Amino acid sequence: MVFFEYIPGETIFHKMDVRPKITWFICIVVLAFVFWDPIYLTVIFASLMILSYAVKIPIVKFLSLMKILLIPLIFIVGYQAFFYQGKTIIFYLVPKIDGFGPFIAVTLEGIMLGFTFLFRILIMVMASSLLTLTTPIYHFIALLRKLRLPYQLAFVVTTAIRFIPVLERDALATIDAQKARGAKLEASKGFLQIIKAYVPIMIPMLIGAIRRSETLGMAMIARGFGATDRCTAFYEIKARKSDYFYTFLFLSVLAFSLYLSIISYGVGDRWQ
Amino acid sequence: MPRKIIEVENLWYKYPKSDRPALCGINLHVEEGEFLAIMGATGSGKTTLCLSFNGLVPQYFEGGEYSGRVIVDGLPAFNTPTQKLALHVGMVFQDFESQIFGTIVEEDVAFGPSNLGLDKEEIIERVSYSLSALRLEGYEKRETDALSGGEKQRLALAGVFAMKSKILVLDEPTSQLDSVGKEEVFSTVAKLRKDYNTTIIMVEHRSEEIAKYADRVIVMKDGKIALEGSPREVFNRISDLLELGVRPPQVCELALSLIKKGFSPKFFPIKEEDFRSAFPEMLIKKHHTNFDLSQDKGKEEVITVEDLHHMYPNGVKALNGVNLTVKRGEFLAIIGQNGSGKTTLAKHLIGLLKPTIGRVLIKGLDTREQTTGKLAKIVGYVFQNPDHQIFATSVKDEVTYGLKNLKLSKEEISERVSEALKFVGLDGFEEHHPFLLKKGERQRVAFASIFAMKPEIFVVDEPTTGQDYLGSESMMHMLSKLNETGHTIIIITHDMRIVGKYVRRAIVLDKGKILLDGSTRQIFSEFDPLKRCFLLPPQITRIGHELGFKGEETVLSVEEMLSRLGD
Repeated sequence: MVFFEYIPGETIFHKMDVRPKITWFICIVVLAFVFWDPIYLTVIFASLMILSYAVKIPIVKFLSLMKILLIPLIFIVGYQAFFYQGKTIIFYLVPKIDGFGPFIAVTLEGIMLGFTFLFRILIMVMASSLLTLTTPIYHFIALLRKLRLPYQLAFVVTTAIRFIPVLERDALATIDAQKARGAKLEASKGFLQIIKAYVPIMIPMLIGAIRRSETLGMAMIARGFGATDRCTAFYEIKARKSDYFYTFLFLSVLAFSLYLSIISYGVGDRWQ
Repeated sequence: MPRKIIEVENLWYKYPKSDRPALCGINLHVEEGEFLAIMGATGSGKTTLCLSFNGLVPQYFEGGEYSGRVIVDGLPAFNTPTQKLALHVGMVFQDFESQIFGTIVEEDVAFGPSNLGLDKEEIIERVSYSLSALRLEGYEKRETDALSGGEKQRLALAGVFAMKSKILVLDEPTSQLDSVGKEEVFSTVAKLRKDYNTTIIMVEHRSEEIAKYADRVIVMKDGKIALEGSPREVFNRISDLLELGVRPPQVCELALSLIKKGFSPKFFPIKEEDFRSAFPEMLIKKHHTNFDLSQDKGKEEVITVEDLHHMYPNGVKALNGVNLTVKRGEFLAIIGQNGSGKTTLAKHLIGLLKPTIGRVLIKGLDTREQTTGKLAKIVGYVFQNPDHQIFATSVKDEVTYGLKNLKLSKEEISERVSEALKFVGLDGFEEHHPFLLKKGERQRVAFASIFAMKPEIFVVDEPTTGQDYLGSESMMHMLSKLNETGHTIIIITHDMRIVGKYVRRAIVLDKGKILLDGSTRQIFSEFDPLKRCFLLPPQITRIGHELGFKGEETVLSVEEMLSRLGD
């Protein structure tokens, strides 16, 4: 699991309250969408790289994510480069031959737009990973409770997250057991065939989850769930002075950037 | 005179939509500070009785039929809300995975106290009190999912203990654990009794530990209490126990056989260390046995494992250079602690895992070049939990699944299905719904579905875990029968008694390497190396060791021991 995997650490960013952290995250996302100029986006991306180095997140974490994203990313850059109708033509994909063509102009504007989208995705992935990798899940839950969401809802969220690895193990065990009976999961082609091949995996998993939820329900009650309406929050988030400062800092950066974009800096008109 | 903390009077209970009652007139008293063990075959009503103590029976199930009285610490369990009873009775369920709610340890322990609406300071104090009682100090910030089985079980206990209830009810707390985990749980429970005078009620199949720790035992059958008394009173009624699906400690079996032969003990021994003082005049006859495995010599090699290393994608090195050859017709056990690499090794034998370094040959076929589907024709792999594979709506369809994957003809399939069901003793169950069968029967359905594929090698992961005595014996009898007809059998197990009784060769894995490999007798004679990887030979072997049967004279079963004692 990449999401919700928390890597403990002692850096300032780790210790920061969850609220300035979420403010930071929102700022980054807004900035990534306000600016169109890939050079501005590169700066944001570079700041995230520096941050991830500073909070000691192993680069492998991102690389494994990138591996999954590689093909869609190439596709996005390529699509923009080939199909955006820009002015500055660099070359044609299909050159002029015997009076035909030339077709499909690759333009500088197109490439730049491709990079804009590329960096936006990279920034989103990096920022959300940085947030979840440095923040234990119970900080988010504590925030939910601070926002006066019902305790039951916070409990549902925690339990769901807690059982992801359990269900994953069950799924792997089932897949192994059916493979040992000659199931051919990879070889199935076509929608119906795939569905049919996965029935022997899905049913034991569903039944298992139902059995589990039965025990879960009993175990909850046996530990007093629902004994009172006002149950105590074990984790409370308390903002320190520094957290107010960080929130202020992030919001100022956001305001300054919005100002820049309003007076037309970094909105990408250079490349249009 | 200690006071009665639980009183059960003529309790009857029938689950909704069930055709027969689960409890039929239970009368029981539990005293404060007592350790009561509940034993009996699966389906005899043990868990239902436990659920009646904290009111989940009848309150959690709508429409059940309940009569009689259960008074817990002065409160009627019938209509006191379970949440309120939780302050008096803590319950730890069999599936410990389903009762851990927090993603980190302290959060989980705090779950119960938070539900009660206690002050934050009080909760913090209870978390640390509970973690120290369960010897989990320093675990506060650990992730719950990364804990070992024994640690998870202790965490489940800690979560319940933080409610400060005087009674702890534990439903088969050790059935999924290795010997280290079992020891952790029993010694922790003993500590809770000593330090906090906690009343313990434990459902447990392991009679040797019960003999050592419990004050009183009840044995249930069909919703009734069939036997009741101190461990000494209960464990000398061996013929009754076997009928009730309970295996007494081997020392009791031995003592009773000796009494039948005309010896009279000073007292009836229920612990291994009591045997010598119970029969001080017993003569010990030297007897010649050896470590030989001659019956398996000179046969064709069916499995060859060469310098096998395996590293999981997360970087964990599970196997570090395993070399192993298995000949046709061998009966082999792979033993070792959790995490020693047993299952990783076994999964290589059917290609579910491929070597990182080295190779595995199954009848000359390199597993790296074969699919699991192909290898499944030679190697039948029976998984520990049948519920991970059962998906069909009838027993017949379930067994048919593998055969369809083999693309056999209709006639061939129906012939094999009936043969397989006959072999496991489920003929006549073709049209039954597998989910409605008992656990032991589901296990046999899973076994039949592999048997029908007619593999010549069987790999069975934990054939006896979570089964009662009768279920374990019937499973081992099936494997022995297959072995007699020339099949190669490999089991993975924590149960040393069945290794001693049924298995000819054992290999001990430790940290991904083979530490010992030889005849079972030879392996069980190596007390010190076994101890270093936390393995304990069966009780009868240990008694034999005390009596001087060491090395090649190591004793493996009660029958063997009897032939060496006499006048």
